[in-house]
Amino acid sequence: MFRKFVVGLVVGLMVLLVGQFALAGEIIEIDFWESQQPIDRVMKNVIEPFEAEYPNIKINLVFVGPGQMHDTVSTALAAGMPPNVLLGYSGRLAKWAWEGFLIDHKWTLTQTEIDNFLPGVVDTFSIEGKLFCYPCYFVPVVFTANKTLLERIGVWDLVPQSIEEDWTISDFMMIAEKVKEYNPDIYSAFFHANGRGGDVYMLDYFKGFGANHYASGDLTDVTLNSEAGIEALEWMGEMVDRGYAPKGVAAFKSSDIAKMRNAGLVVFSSGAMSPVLPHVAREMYDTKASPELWEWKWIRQPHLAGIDSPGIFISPGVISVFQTEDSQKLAASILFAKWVNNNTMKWFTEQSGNIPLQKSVEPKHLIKNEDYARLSDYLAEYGITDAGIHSPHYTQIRNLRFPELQAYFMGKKTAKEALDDFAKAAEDLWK
Amino acid sequence: MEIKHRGLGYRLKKGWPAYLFIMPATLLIGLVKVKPMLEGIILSFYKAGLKSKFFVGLENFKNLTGTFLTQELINTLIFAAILVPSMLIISLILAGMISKFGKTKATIFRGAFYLPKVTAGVVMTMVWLWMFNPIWGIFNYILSFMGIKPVMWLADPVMSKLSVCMVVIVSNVASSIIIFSAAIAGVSKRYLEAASLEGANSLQIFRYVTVPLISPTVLFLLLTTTSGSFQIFSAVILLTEGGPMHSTLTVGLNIYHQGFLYYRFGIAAAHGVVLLAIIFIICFFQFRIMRRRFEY
Repeated sequence: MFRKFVVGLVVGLMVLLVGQFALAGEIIEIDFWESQQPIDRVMKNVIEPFEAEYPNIKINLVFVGPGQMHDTVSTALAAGMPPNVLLGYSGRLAKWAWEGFLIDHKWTLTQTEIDNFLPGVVDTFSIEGKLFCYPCYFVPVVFTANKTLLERIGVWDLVPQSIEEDWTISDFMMIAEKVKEYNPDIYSAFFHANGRGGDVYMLDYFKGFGANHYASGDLTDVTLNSEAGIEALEWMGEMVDRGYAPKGVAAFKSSDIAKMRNAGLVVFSSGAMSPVLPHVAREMYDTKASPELWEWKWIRQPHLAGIDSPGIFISPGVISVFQTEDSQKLAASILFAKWVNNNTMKWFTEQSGNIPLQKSVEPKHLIKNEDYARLSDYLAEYGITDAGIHSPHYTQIRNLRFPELQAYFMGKKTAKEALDDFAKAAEDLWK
Repeated sequence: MEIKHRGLGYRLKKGWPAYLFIMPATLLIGLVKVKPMLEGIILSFYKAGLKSKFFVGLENFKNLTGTFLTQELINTLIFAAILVPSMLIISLILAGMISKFGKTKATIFRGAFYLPKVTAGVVMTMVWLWMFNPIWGIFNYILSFMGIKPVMWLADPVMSKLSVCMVVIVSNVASSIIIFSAAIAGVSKRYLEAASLEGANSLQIFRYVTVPLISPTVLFLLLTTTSGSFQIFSAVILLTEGGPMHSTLTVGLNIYHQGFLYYRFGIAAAHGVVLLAIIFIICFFQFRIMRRRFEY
């Protein structure tokens, strides 16, 4: 009841503030930076309808390439000229939220709106109880299997046939051996330790051993160097040594995974879920990016016996409002961000081909998709596992992890030394 | 005869059209080059993050000794030591060879060498990444015919440095070729004919006549290549991101990391100032030494 009252008050004040300007005939200009969709489409589907509804607010739309968003916003923040509203990938936002550049979005949402998010979402995007964005949609990081190729090798029956079926690392290794016997140039796993992009794919393997960045929930206590983490990394090394995964891990980037998958050089992979979706696979085949129309299936991640099935890592898109001393501008920014969140989220999600983070958003491209239905069920049961996105040092930590992984895969450090050095460097960021 | 040195007023009065013409370029360079450089120097004395900024004197420079004056500086020096002589020698030899061709052939070859320069850097890097890939890369594919095991081009500390150098040389050698070609074309035919009549062969003419006569161009390219090599950044970030194990981490890349990953703008600026000083000192000595060797 109290929450409803406060949210009502906040929203009412915003409308009042913006309304004042409307009466005075003044125009409030909002800088909206986005990295998700082409400008012309956003203008037509988002900006124009909003400006028609709120004629006293003008949205200055700026498209910033996804690769440039972090540097561009950082430069703008250092110069004191950040955007008012940002729609983009959330992995970089925590630092800005930590520094106080972003508003606490929680107080602009009703309890019903908060409950509308999938389980675990609000925590993943909160720092000290403050929600630093409106979570929009995500690319799930899942474990997948090339059914076509595994059938050809004759081991598909040994693989769990559905997401409901469980399996262990030992089961996985047994299949890996059979794959190698069939063709030593086809691998059962692919690890990459170069470049920050897609680094959660690599972390996903740790998860199967029960290891994560922050197992204790304490952001200052990095736990990837736990016994489980060390065991996971040693297992990855063993996979490479046995020829189950290709050599050269220190130089591989996440983009290489797609090439390996498309070429039929790897039968299992941890990565974005999109290739599992039939329409994406079809498109890859039609554009000749893939030589065969592989059927990829989303399967449960193998894990150590006795370790619970883990939740899902996500690569999310969000909307955030930046703090500004101009109260009218801030009010109009919140109004716009909420409007985008409530009115155009379905459109954005459909355009991006991603999975919504809100229960009420059901994009048409996913409604009849079996994998989407299974994903929803799985998320409802196991939730989202936070890869550390809400740590203010998330971006820096990603940068510290790879040299240590490279050192391990190049035989310069043991798994324990590499992960201990990583944990120490990550913890030093707090000093 | 004694030469009278005139005052500034006289020179301005006498040469005002020249000053007028160079003024727009000077202002533009001042605005986009000198001003940021000065601001960077000032920033190096501050502890500056995203929100706060306060004066710390030489603190940022004291902190550099632990991190800066080690691996990334050594890497940068290694890159410069490989890139500067390689690029100058390769471009000089290629320009010399092209100068022997007829007009059409020379144009074709210059165009071919210049092609990587006009191709988008990111696209070029994607192609290189494909070629270096240990599984499906063309280099290892070719080596496999010779019975050579796959080379970890980017996953080995030594090979990754050489691979980055290869990319930088192929991508940037074109400009030097064009400049050397222009300089060689400007060498009077009389000197070459005279040397030929004296019995010098093509190689001797090139080494003892052409090269000395284009020494100002050599100096210019030596200075610009040195400066560019010390600032190596884009090839490294796109190919290796400083890896493996920091073996290709350069000062330029570390400046980016300090500034945009760790938001330590003051420390990043201090790195920049040290890099500026190093480039300045090296170029200064190159200039002094080379100037004495001018043949005319």
